[in-house]
Amino acid sequence: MAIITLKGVDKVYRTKEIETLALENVNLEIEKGEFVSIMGPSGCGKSTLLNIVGLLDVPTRGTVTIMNDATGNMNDSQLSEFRNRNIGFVFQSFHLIPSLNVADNVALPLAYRNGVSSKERHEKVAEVLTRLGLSHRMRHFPGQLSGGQCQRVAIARAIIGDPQIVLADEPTGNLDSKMGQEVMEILHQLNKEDGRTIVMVTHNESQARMTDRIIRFFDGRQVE
Amino acid sequence: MRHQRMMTWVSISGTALSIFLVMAFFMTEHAKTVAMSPESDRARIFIGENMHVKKLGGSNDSSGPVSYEYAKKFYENLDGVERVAYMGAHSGSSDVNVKGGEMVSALRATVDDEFWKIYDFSFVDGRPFDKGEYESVANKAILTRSLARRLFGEDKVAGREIVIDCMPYDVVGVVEDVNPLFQNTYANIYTIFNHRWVGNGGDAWFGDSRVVLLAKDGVGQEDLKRQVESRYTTLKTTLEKEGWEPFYHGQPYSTAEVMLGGYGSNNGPDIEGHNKMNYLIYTILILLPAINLSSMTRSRLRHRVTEIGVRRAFGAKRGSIIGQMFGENLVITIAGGIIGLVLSIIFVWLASSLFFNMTGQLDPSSLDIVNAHPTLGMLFTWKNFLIALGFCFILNILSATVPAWKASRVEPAVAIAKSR
Repeated sequence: MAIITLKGVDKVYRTKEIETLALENVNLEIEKGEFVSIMGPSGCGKSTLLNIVGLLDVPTRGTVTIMNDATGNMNDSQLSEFRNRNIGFVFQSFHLIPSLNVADNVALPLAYRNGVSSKERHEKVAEVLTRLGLSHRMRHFPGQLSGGQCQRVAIARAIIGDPQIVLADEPTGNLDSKMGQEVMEILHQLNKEDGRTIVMVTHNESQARMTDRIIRFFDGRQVE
Repeated sequence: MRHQRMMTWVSISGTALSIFLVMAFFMTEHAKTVAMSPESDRARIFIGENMHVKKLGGSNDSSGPVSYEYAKKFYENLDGVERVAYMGAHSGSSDVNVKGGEMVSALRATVDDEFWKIYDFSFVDGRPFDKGEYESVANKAILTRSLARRLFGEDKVAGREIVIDCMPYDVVGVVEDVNPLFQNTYANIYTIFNHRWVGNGGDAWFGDSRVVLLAKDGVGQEDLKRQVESRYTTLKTTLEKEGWEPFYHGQPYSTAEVMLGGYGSNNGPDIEGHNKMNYLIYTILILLPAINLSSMTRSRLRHRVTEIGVRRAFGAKRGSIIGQMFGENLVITIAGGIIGLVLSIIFVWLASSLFFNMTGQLDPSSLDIVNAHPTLGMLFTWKNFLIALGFCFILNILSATVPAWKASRVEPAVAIAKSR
């Protein structure tokens, strides 16, 4: 059963002078529990696709259906709530908030979710950080962590709200191979043990080959 | 805020400076009109004083303090008035000494027995004047504590005798010192108002009287003005027959009008103009820093675009981002506001001679027997604190609205892409 469906998706970026076609007629189905890699050269539209799947951006044409919900009719507030409940993000540059400690960074999605008490939030943070081996770093700030630890914190933040979908944009791009391997193992664990659907943009062929499926892009078009 | 310390401190300092200026200005006004002992009932106290007439068909224009006779015609038996006191329009310097003792120059006010019932002086010793003493214009005196100590070395001196301008007086009471900012009650020594003195001869309507009215609860200034104006109209008919035209200048005056309105014997106070000017000053003092703070907040925001994008990605709605921006800005404005308020109190108190022209009404030789500073209680009240807080909120709203709105419009994909 498809959890993500894109039909006839185009994305055009317009400025006063030029028009750039970032995605062209993308038709895509990703099954629930699938681990998918998206590959292609820089500027081929991988991140644009991830933004559209993550509801951070809207297509110029076409439809995006996630978990059987047609997202095109949702307003900004509904999109925010949908993202909060169903989608977790992992970024290449981690994007942790430097003024918040690890626990507060991880708890961020729950801060925007109604009905989660402070106690529940603390318990969930402790549980997720323990799972990722970072419980001893709760009160540290991002500036006090290594790159690998930062990405593990970012993964903890992505899964604390228990989303069915995790979108990872070059999650190992800023890490050395050992740390990159650790992060990949965690992502596979989230896929196998939790049944989460993972869509990962990567330039790393060997990491991509370890996923269920590789989707290749070139000049905004899906080529494989 | 923690990660942009420099910007945060600049913002707090800017806010502090703004609130400092606003509150220093506000406090100088407030200290002049604050209701405190002995003028605790200022909201109900109204003053009548001058008279202004012009020769019909001529250029002879006269104005000055009204005579006792005419003061009664204008202000006696008004509806809604609880008490009426008569006192000398001018306080003057007198030479005071104990027989054979040091001569001291002291500011002298002449008052009646009702004066002590309208104003809540605190008696250290003795009592106020009584009706009989006032009627007979007896040589009785009430001293302030500082003057009593200066003359006698102690303040329990009721029943003792002093000499005022070479005339013997019995001291009937001693009161706590009055701050010079209470212009209607401030003096070093009080003697009985000579209501029998006709004044300056020919014109029966001029003299040296000031009338203090204590309105009943719920009676407004306009009620009293209407009655006094009606009496002026009646007088006009009489005076016109004698070739004079009286002018009504909106008496009786409120404390704010007396203290802030800037009136003379031939013109009334312009409290409306004064207030307009004040609003303009407050607006400038708030608006200029608000624009600066807004720019700084926007600058801080530019460094946080990614953070806002990440928050939006994880579910923050536009309203949450706006709330967060206002909340953070409010912390800065309140921190700056408290610093500004404390600084303004210290500054106004230390530099009170700059703000309050108290020496203008004091004989220089009597300065050493008064405390010419406004008290801390006159400068700081919880009302002032709430007003400062109010200014902080206004500053917050003015300076955060545009940045908060802009922050809420940040597109998450664009914000995150910027730092990818």
